[in-house]
Amino acid sequence: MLVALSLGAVMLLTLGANPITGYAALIDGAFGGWDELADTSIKAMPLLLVGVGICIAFRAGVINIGGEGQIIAGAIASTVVALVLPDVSRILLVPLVLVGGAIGGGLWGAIPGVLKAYAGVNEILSTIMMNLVAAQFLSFLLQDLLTDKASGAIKIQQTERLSANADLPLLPGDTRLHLGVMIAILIAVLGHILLFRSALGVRLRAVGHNADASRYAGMPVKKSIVQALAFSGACAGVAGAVLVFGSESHRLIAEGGASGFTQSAGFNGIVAALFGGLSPLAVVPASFFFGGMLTGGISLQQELQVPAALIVALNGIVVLFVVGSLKLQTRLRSWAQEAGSGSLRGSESPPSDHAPQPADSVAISEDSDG
Amino acid sequence: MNIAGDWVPSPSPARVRAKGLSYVPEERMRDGAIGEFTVAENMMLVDYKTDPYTKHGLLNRSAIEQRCEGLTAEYRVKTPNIDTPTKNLSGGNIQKVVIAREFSCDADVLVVAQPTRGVDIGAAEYIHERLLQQRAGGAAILLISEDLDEVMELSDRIIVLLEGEIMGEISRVDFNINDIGLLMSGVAATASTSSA
Repeated sequence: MLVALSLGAVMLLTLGANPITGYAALIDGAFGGWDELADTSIKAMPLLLVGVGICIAFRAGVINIGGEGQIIAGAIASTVVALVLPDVSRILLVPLVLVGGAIGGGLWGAIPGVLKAYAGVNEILSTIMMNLVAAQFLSFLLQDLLTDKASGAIKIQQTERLSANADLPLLPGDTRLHLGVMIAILIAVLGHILLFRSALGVRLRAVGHNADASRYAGMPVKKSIVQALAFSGACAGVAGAVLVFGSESHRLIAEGGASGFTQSAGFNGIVAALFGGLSPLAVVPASFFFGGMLTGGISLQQELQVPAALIVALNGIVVLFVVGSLKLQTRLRSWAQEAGSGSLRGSESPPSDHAPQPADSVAISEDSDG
Repeated sequence: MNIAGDWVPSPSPARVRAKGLSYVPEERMRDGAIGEFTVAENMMLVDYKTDPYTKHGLLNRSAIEQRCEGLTAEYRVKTPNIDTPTKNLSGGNIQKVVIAREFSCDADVLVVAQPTRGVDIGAAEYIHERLLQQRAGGAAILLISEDLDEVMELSDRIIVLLEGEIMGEISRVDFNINDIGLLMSGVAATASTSSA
């Protein structure tokens, strides 16, 4: 973490800016007040939702790189729900669009799941390809079918202003913070229950650790793979719905390609999930931290006139160092353990579970930054 | 496949288990247990979703804990506690975890492969004891083993396989290490069974 920050400082220096004021601006922009905290939370929402889905998939041994596509599929599905049922009352329509998003993303995730389970197609390949398909499909839909009718001859790639009944309600307090943040945290709790407190979670994790033993124990391995990707996609799909109905414009927009709409949350969510040690509850602070980096980056840019791309680079460095050092820690510990048991001195108290470890260090890095 | 009189079409592990077959695999760390899972989780690997261990899809921790504490004590699994990762246990104790799980299913048919390979003598004797208990309880046991002493000590009948072919079958009264040795080397299948 420190190494990453000092490398960032060197980058700031080479750009002719003072790193201390730079970091001050970053922290102030991310966590400096209610508005900043709200913006950080809004940025963190899709990361958290995708991240919870990634936890489910990775724990089941399925590498889901398809968050982007699943977000888009969820956004499209939820938009269609809002377009078809614009007059349903708000108390029903908000859950409906969220469920629509979950189903859209879930189905989009299930496709590579079926391909992997029954045709042996590598899920990394298929999920990446499904991202491209989803992006093009979105572009196609916004070209014609779902385009704003009011825009006339010049077609802008966006839908009409979607039904106000589907707007995610703002939370009390004078910020932009909306219901999405509650939904994201709720999904994180549900994800935790699914993985660690349910029979399905036992099966998914068993298959992820050791598919052979799971099969001999009578577990349906193929079904588990499909389910893992479907749940993973459903979480990303909810993120898609939240991105549409929690946005300022309340439209589905493909501004300058799909990445403009998803904010690359499909990929950054993976980072947040790994940062949180693939534990849904730990992904909450992890995604909040990354959300802070993203919002803080904007104020860093404004204060110091350095390109915001710097923060993307800085993010990358932080991830490399933190994730790298965690891996190194566990490896060092297992070496120590092996050495201990090899010499029959019986090294006491082997590290019981490395899962919570990343969570702790996230909490620490949170404190030192906030 | 025919299990205790029930025909199982296109058998899969899930289907044959549903018909009352339990299986102790030869490769305990590859096929029998999940190293990263806790002792309790491995003990529940087959029954995890049955009542009372799962209710409405959610795990019932107290029922699971009670069962696993019971099994740990009953099968003398040496572990700090039931939440210890299974890979931290010794080979014999991991095997006991697998055996505790498979033997507690009340199966009609037990397929047990190399149950004591790489297991210390105390644990091996204990596993033999439990096998005979299962037999006394009315289970049919198919013991697959390369340990001749083990096979001769425990079995009612021995079938010698060589390169996938049945070389001969010997009943307990006729057990004789020379005959078995001959069968194993593929010599005089008919002569040996008739001799004793």
